[in-house]
Amino acid sequence: MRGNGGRVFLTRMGLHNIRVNKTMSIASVLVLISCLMLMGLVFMAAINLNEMLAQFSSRNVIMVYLSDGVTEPERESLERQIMRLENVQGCIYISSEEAYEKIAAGQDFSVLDGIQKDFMPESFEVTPLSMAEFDETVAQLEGLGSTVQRVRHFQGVARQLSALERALTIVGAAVIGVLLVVSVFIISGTVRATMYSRQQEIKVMKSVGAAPSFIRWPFLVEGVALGVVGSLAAMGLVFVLYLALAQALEPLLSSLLTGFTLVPFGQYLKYLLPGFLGVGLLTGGGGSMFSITRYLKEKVYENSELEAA
Amino acid sequence: MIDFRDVTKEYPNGTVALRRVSLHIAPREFVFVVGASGAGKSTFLKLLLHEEIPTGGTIRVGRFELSSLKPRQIPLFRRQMGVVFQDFRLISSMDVYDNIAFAMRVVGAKEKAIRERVAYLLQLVGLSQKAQSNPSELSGGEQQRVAIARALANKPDLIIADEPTGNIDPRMSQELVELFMRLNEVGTTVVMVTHAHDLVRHYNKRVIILENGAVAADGGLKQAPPARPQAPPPTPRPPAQPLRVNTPPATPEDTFLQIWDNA
Ligand SMILES: Nc1ncnc2c1ncn2[C@@H]1O[C@H](COP(=O)(O)OP(=O)(O)OP(=O)(O)O)[C@@H](O)[C@H]1O
Ligand SMILES: [Mg+2]
Repeated sequence: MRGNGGRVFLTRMGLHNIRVNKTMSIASVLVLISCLMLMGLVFMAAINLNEMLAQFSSRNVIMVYLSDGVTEPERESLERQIMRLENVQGCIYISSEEAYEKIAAGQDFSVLDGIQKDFMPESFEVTPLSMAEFDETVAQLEGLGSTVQRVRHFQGVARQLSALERALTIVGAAVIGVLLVVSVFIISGTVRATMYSRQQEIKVMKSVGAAPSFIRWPFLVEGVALGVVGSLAAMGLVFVLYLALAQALEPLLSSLLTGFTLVPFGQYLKYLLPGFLGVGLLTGGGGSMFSITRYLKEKVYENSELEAA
Repeated sequence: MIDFRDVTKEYPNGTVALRRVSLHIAPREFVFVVGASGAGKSTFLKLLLHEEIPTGGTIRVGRFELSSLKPRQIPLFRRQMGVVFQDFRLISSMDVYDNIAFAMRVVGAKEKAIRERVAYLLQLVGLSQKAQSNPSELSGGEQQRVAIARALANKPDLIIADEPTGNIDPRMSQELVELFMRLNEVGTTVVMVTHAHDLVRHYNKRVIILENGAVAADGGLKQAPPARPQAPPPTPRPPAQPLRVNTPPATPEDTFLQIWDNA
């Protein structure tokens, strides 16, 4: 393998093999593509979920909803009580009308709290001083008496979301793992099929003294090329799919969680492209190495069934 | 250069292709191997190439003792020889040029050196016009010449040819043998299996006659056999085919001609 010409030549040969072995090549690329697409989608779902999480977590205010029919003096006394709490920095009163407008203008996530739009309770938006004592402050607010209907904050939602994200990551990783193994097998099968149909050629190579590394190269090229083609195609398809999904989901999502927009595709690209290429190279290269090693091992001493007397 | 000691080859299906064959071929020697179809000539060559492993005995080729050849040494071992296979073994997906160039790429030759050498070899075997052809587009004789050119590609120390003249016309056959002779004169060992009796008769070289897997005779037509101790007497054959060598011959040459006609 010292001469470069040899390598160039063998590389051409490997690429040529793909064309000869069309059906199997297409099949293995398709499997790899589906695997990678699933991977891409799980990844993008995770990123978006993460983004939502960040948005929720940054809303560290605590909403204190007032009971029905609370009078103005009761409300003012409650406000003073709240302001006296140690960890409270600010407290803003929001009337029913303001609450409704906020929701209508899409500046609030309150829909998630299951509050019906036809009646918005009055509320205080309490800003805590430090997040460290967040839970204690919530408990204190909840203990303020019957004028408080209930206390809501976004940290709970955030915690649920992060549990969802964890579950998605685990399930996604498992599914992707299985698919990866499948792709390795399929690519290895494809390369094996090529090797089988090239038996004669391999034998000739051996009989003129070709080293195993020399014989391997075209098949390695074949596997790697299939991997790269698969990953680039998957990249393109994921992009198209994402655009379509975004178009379909964005109105729904932003009506549901106002102010939320999907992460733009460019942001995934820097992870997805190397990730896909890496996976493609590994499954392609790994799959073909697997076949080659086994095949060459089986055939250390070839029997010459060639001879026609 | 080549040393067979008590070599027996039994194929898995039970065919004994070689029986206790012992022979020695010195460096720079030119040897014809003849024998009837099925006598074991190709088997002999396959053992030489380590393509088949003997079921008994030992084989040395050059500095390699074949039974202790490690798998990774096999490519190196094979590169010291140029082989013309009986079935040519051209690679059908490559054109003529690449088939020859391939043998040089295997040893890591530079593309420039390959271009020059392949052009020379193609000219030598008269196939310069066919460089871009696929082996399947060539006649049997042309394919054979490609195989010959490939065997010469790396200027081997040892040329092994299985019926290299089987598909080419008498004049070209003679040219081929002349070529081998010239290579032999400059130091190449040549082992050539052939059925072409007239060729063998024409050249005064050592002839090994195989019969039923054993060496029936070994020597020159017009010269005494080499001084080395000869192979053990051939194993008994069915009485229907009495071995004429057993009747006392007048001269070594007579012996040869007798076995020769029998083979
Ligand atoms: N791979 C094999 N498996 C089993 N038997 C084989 C194999 N190769 C050859 N033989 C048998 O071994 C014997 C010797 O075969 P070989 O090919 O060496 O003959 P040969 O002298 O080269 O004949 P030819 O002149 O026809 O080429 C024959 O009987 C043949 O049938
Ligand atoms: Mg033969």
